Amino acid sequence: MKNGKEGVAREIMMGSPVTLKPEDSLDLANDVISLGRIRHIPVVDEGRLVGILTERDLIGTAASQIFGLKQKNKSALLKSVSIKEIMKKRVVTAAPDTPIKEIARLMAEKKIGCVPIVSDGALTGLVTTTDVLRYVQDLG
Amino acid sequence: MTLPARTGKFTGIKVVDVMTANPLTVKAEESVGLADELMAENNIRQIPVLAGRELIGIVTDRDVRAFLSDTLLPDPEAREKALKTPLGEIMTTEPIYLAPDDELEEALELLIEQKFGAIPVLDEAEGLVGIVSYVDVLRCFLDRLREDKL
Repeated sequence: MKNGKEGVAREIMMGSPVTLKPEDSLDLANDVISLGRIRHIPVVDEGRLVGILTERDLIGTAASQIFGLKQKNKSALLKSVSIKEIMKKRVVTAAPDTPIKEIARLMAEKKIGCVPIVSDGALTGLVTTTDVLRYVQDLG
Repeated sequence: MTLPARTGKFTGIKVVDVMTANPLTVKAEESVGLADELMAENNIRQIPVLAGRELIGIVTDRDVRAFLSDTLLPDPEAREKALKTPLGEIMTTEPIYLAPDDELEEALELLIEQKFGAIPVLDEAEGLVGIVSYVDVLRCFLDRLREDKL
């Protein structure tokens, strides 16, 4: 495509995203999201992508589950719930050689903020809207 | 030395060409619970806050969720009270905004560097006329690709 590049996911993806395991507890996710100022964390089990946790899931869905529990503080509540109970299991993914325009289309149509990049079932990277917008900016 | 004129592929595209016109708005005295519902129902993450026609703030899903997460108590009364809190207490005041005639590149810069999800668009005479989000910019990018202008 432009600049001798093909315009595919691997050129703009973050190669080693922060990940969590399904058994990790929500308080760990909370720390990662607040300290890292990130909104999406892929959930990986033995190298394979099994879900994604967004800031929205963490606060929204977690809250409704937590209300049923009789515990005293937020930290204890978050510790008692594991990621696999909250994560989205149906994740929109793409391959390293998926065209960036296809990823842009997925993000615009589905209003999703990130697309994990998967190769043979293994997570190899993450593309966020910021990555795609930067690519668009560089084209201009 | 004279710098060459910028001739980027998005030069000439204005914010007004890509923005979503007449966005949903709220008032400062309306509740956190209402903003939460509006965001969920309409799948949006930012709502401008108006006083009459004046833009006085913006509320994001992050503001709402951060506020509500502090009230994650197994106490329905505390949660009820939190949901009834006026948006004026949690909104971001003096939000950054764009003008309809600003270049799309300016919107891109703000979306990338400031990590804003969306930016209100203000017309001097008419007040708030739109909002421009990453989805609007991606749609413009896809349209330009389709028209083979990139």
